[in-house]
Amino acid sequence: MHWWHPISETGLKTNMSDDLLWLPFLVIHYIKETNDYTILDEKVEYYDDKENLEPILNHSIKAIDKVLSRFSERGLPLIGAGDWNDGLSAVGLEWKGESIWLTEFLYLILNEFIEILNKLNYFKTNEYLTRANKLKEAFEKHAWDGEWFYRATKDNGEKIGSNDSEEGKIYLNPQTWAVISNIANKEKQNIALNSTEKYLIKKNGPVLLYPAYSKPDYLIGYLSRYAPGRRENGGVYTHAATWSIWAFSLIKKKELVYEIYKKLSPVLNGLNPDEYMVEPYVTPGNIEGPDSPLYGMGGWTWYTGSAAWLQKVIVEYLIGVRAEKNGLLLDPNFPDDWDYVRFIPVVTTLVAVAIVWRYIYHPKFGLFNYILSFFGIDPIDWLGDPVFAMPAIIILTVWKNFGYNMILFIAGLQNIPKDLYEAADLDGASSWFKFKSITLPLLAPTTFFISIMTMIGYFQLFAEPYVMTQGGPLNATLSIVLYMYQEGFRWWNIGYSVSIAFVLFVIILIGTLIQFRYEKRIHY
Amino acid sequence: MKSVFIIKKFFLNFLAILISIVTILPFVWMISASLMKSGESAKFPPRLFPEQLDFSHYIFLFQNLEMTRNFINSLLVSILVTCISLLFNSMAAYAFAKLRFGIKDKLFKFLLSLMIIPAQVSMLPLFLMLKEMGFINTYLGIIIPGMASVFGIFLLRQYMISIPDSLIDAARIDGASDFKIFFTIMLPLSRSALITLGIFTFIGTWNDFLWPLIVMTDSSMYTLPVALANLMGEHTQDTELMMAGSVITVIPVLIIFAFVQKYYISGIMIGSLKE
Repeated sequence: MHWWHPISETGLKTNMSDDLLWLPFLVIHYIKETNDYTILDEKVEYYDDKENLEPILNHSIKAIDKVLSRFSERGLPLIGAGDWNDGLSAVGLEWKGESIWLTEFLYLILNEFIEILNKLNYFKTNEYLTRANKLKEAFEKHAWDGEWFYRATKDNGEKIGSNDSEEGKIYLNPQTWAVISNIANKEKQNIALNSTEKYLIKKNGPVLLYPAYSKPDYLIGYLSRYAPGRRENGGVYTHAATWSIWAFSLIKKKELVYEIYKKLSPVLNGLNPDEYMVEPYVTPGNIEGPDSPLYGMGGWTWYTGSAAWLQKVIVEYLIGVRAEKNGLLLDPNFPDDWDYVRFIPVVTTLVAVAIVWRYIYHPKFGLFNYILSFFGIDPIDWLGDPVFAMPAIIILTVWKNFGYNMILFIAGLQNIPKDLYEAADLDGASSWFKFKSITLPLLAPTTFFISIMTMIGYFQLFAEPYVMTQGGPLNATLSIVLYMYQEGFRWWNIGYSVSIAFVLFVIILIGTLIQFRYEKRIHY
Repeated sequence: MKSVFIIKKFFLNFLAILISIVTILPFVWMISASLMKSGESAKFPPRLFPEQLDFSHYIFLFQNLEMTRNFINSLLVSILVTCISLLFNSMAAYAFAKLRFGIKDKLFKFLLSLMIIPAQVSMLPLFLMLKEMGFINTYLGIIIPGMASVFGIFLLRQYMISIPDSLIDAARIDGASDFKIFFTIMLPLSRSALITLGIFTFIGTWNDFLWPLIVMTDSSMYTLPVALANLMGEHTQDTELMMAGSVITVIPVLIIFAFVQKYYISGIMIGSLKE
């Protein structure tokens, strides 16, 4: 079935070669998500044999075997009347044309299904293993086009999506799935994705192929009969474009992962309505490519497959939360300049933060004591006990300034010449040794600067004790500025208050002078 | 070798995630406690998420207390201080960077040396001065001391020095006045430094606590941090209400920061790293 409408229970029966494999694909992902292998025993009927109830495992095996039975002499699967790209509808009508993308897809399915079969001790495991290895060999031998992987061969043996092709020289899917399936070696994966970045990623994301076909090719199919730049003929086809997010996340090109997401985002595209033209609140099935006179116009909104895949890659590959066989994997791919989280405490209002922490330190209901209780530590009256009140405030201030100091340290680290580390690597130094004898000494000026500045800064401590302890208990947290404030603005002892301020000034002056004096000497 | 590498990588990632969690946890708790029913956060063991979302504390803050007024106070003061100080600081910076006058270098050094004096030291004299002028408990009491800052002048001057003199000379030959040069050449070219300083000033003014606490005597004139600290005195037991107040105080800064963090972080570098 090429598609299925659940309400009318109708589908389209075709000779497309990949449809079969999406069943095991779903089963694999279902099991990863739920760890529930009983799905394989679930009995369901066949579409063309309603009497015959068999477990889903048998359905999946039959589907895989069917694809495995349709192979070319070169050891590659045949494309038939198209694969995922149903627009390649005339490529393999005589069952001679091969599909490189299907090779990759099949390789992924085989490998992941083998793991499931292994768990069940199923007899086909070894057979599939051999087939997967042979598939990889054939792929390595035949699929490379020089700078990228070509897409398919026609019944007459001519390549599609090759540099030799007149048009449609490079296709997106064979590059992305070479990485997703891991069938290609790392070097070619990188070259293929570099070519993708170079030739395919345009204003609204990666186009499906480039350049678009300007005239119909009866040996390719209806894809070539779309106007140039529209839909599969050189447009951005969202469904396939989301797979590029998946692929780039696997080789950790984080900037591109986020970049492509932004290019596809209907909200961002909707900011330019004269060009984009469709609703900004649903994912479109496609966006016109550069060969179209309507470059940038969205089309086929409410196309559920695209929306579902976009959501899936955002959650699983941009945010990086996904279910794997052994549990939940956290592998975020945010761009490196997203330092937002660690910086939040620095910019937030001190008073609000101090109030929040006051409750966190609550002796009975506080989060802090609760966490400590896991380590067998008895509840501490953090703010009520003269011994613990100051440490409690210190912990809060360290937490608050963490992001700020981190940025300064990062800047310091960037100033350390890289070749020192390379030289140490050559000598076989351990990372601890490198840290001890390169990083720490060369970071000394930064460390010094941060220490002095932090010290000067916290002689001016005020809001934390004001909100949390009012200087108590037993004046344990009374800071100079708080003392000054109480004397000056609460009791109106103006002269006394000014003297306190002057002492503060002298302390800070001394700190600053030390900073000035030793700053130059300690520089490397 | 490879397994050692993996373990190390795992350990480092684990550490990074742990630090992020420690960083973010108080905020998560703040937001979720503000949405709990009264008393729900004071249960043991502590809950991280509310059983049921409850917005009543926010409604109470804005309807029964003066939070709306305090919010407007904070916003008004922060915006005015930012705009006015940007104008004055940049004018002074232009003079120090590009104009020629006798005592320029001495004056600039004198200004820089003022940076050593902590703000708290001059607070009492400043307060007494403003009292004489009748600005206590008015917006001007916050705005006037914030109209210019040595740090701001310094930051903008350093940036403006790098703008080529030839641009100014060309404009001068065409007969442009100093004001015209300042507004049509210097200001547009200093955009990124102005944005950086603007963010610093806005966030700093929004978060400032001690000075508004001293200057504002009437609760309707309080800025958000002062109002919040004051609320703490009366409603210590209403954890959820206090958290809602904290959220309102913190959120505007976080939203601004989310959009401009690049400028903020680069500003830290300018202000603190020396060659």
